[in-house]
Order: sequence, then structure tokens, then C-alpha cells
Amino acid sequence: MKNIKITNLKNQVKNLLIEASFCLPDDIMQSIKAARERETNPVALRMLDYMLENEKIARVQKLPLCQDCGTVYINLEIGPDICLENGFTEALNSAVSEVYNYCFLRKSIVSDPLFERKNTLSNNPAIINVSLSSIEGIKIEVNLKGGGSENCSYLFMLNPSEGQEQIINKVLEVVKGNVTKCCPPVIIGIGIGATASEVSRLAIKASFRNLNYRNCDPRYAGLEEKILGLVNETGIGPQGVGGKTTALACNIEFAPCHMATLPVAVFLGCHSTRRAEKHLDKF
Amino acid sequence: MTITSRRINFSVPSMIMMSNKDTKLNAPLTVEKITSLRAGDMVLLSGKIIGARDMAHKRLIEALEKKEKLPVELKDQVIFYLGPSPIPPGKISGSIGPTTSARMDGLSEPLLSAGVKAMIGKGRRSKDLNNLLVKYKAIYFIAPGGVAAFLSTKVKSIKEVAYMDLGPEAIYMLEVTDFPLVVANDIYGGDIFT
Repeated sequence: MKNIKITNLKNQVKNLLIEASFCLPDDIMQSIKAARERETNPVALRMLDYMLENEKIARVQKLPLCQDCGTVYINLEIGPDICLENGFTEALNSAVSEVYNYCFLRKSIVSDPLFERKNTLSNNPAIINVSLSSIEGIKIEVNLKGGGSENCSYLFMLNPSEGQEQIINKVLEVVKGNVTKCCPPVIIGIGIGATASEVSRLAIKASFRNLNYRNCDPRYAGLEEKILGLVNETGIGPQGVGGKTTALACNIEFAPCHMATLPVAVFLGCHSTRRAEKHLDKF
Repeated sequence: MTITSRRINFSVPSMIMMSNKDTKLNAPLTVEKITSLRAGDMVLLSGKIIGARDMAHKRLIEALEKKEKLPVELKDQVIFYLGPSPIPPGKISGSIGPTTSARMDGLSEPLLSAGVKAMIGKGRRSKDLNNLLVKYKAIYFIAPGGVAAFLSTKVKSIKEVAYMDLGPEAIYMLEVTDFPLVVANDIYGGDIFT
């Protein structure tokens, strides 16, 4: 067993938070550049240029990519050879608090949802998800999600006999009704199967998946492609000004479910989907 | 703390060319300044504008209902739905960008009737709100969302002026130069989203 020191884990998370806040992932940059190549609407072209220019300014001037520096999601995948020291939840939250304060990131979390709604001034708590995995070592993922994109998240409990046509209808309904509110071109994350609670986790995993990966099941990969095509045919375009690219990608994650259910979660991630990850396997 | 970037040699040429199709506007705005604008037009806005979002709207409306003196003048003003990130030392502004306008749909009429001429945010608005724009001869602009580091370069000054206890939801006064906007809803009922 390898013992992971809390201070090591905390430093790794701090570096990932900084990388995610100031540098857009390569696959998203490439995808925006490809959308720019395809685009013919001059207003949409301008919007895509702003996105490319923004990434450069954020990185060079150390200004956050978006003023909404998000809710922090931290996922830890722990291999069978790893032993974590006690107190990692506190350490991860203090990593978030320190980075948000030292790097002048906007702290957006309020203490309770209904009554006081008082800012916690630390961007705590982070949403921490720990899973056991068969990989060697430990994989750390840091994802930041803004409020505008969080508000475009929908859960549907469909009738199993309705099948993929109904899923396509629901996704198009969500996109047409909401996409202009969450900074298109978006990344559509769809969870299918599992349970009402787990399918949301699948959808968020899908919306933060690298754009270069397709689902390894060709049937689901086909559905991803089909939905992406239909969404882009709407012509809503970058920032909703009209154009060829309303979504950069459609990612699906699926899992087995109860014979009486067909849970579907549809999440929309903005073009400034901020994520960073690191796999520690050498110590 | 250092910034760790995987792309040290990455560079984007500055491709943003301002074309002669851009309309230059100076805030505050009167009806005369916005009559020629149509949905889809690109605008570069300069001058002083007010930053206010959800909670600041609620407080302004309460003050209007009680006929109290407002902390800012609303006549002919431009309201920007924003919540900036903190200003790092040595910089003029933190990252700055629009928040979702639809949340302000039900809160806009009292401000329009007090003389607000334009709103800046992101995303589509309700049918009712679009009708109000025609009624009050006011305009709704969208600013590009999620490009807040870029937009910060268009800010000459920003300061909190009222309701400071609301933190990022306080009222701000901003001075901007050539701030890029697109007309989403004009005073004739034109709508870029339909």
C-alpha cells in the first residue's frame, strides 16, 4: 500500500484549480477553432474570436476565464494500492479556499439555499466525490461549473418503451428552451440509465468528458453524433446570435437500470468548461 | 503561487477586426440614439453604465415602491447584469461578464418605467419583457458570455456604489470603452433569437 500524504493531495488540487481557472483545455480550444473555420455568420465569427482571445488574455494576465468562477467539483478515483490519510475532505476544502482567495477568483457559494443565502467567502464547500477504482495510483479531477450552466440541468424519468426518439425530443426541448442562457456553443452531457440520483452523476461526468473521446459502444456513439447534428441544425449558434455551431459536442454516459425505468439527465456545459486532471501513479 | 500551463508556446493571433458596420454609442442613452438600431446589429458602447443584478433589482424596486431616494439615477441609464470577480492588485478590473438575463424578466418593468433605456445580459428573454421594450422604447443588448477576461480590457473604471453588503451582487458604476455588444431586442419588437 502507498500512503498519500494530505499535503501532497492538497498541493495537487491547488495546482489543478489554478490550471482550470486560467487555461482552457486543449480539446475545447481546438473545437472552438474548428467551429470558427466552419462559421459564415459574421456576428457568430466575432463571438468565436472573442472566445479565443479570452483564453489568451486569461492565461497571460492571470484573470479568470469567466467571472463566474464556479462551484468546485473534485473527483478522486482511488486505486487498490492507495491509502489516503485521514482528513482529506478538510484539506480539499482548504485548497479551494486558499486558491479562491490568493488568485482573486469570485466566491459564489452561499451558506443555505433558502433563507440567509450568505456568501461563505471561501467558495466552500466543494462537491467531493470519491470512488474506488481498479487503476493504479490515484486520479484527481477538478471541474468548475458556473451557475448559468448549472441552471440548465434537467432530469426525466421516461417510459422505457419510448426509447431513443423520446430522448432526442427531450434533449432538443432542453436545448431550444435554455441554450442561450448558458453561453453556447455548449457541451451537452447526457446520462442514461442507473437511477434518478446516479443518472445526474453520469450526466455531469459526460459534460466534463474530453471532447476527443466518443462513447466506446458504437450504438451510443451513433446517438451522440445524431443529437449533435440535430442540435447544430437549429442554427441558434454561438451566444445565440445564429450560426452553425450551437454545441461543440454531445457526450453520453450510460449504466444499467431497473426494468421499469429509463432515467435520463441532460446537462449543458458552457463553452468555457473548465477542467483539469492529474493521474498520480509514481510516488 | 505559480500558474501551471501545459501550453507555453500557444498563441492566438489577434483576429478581432472591428468593422465599419459597428455602431458606436455613448451612454447614457436617449431614445434618439437607439432608434436606428435593429436586432443583430453589433455595437461598441462607451461611457458610464450601472451594474446591478438579482438582489440589487429587488432593493431598487422596494425603494421605488416606498418612493425613497434611489442610490443611483435611472433615467436614460444602461443596466448591466453582472457580478465581477475581485480586482487583483495593480489591475483596473477583475474578469467581468454578463449573467443570465431571464432571471430579471419579472423585475425589469419598475426600472423601465423609471427611465432605464437599455439592459445588457446574456440569453433570451420572455415575450412579456420584449413587449415592455416596445412599450418603453428601450433596448436589450447581449454581451458575449464566458469571455470575461477579454471584456475586462474594455473597462476603464469600476466601483461599488450602493448595497455593498450584497458583495458581488452590489450596485456598481462602470466606465467602459468600446464594450462589444449585440442588439438582441430592438424598440420595434425585433428579436435576434427568433
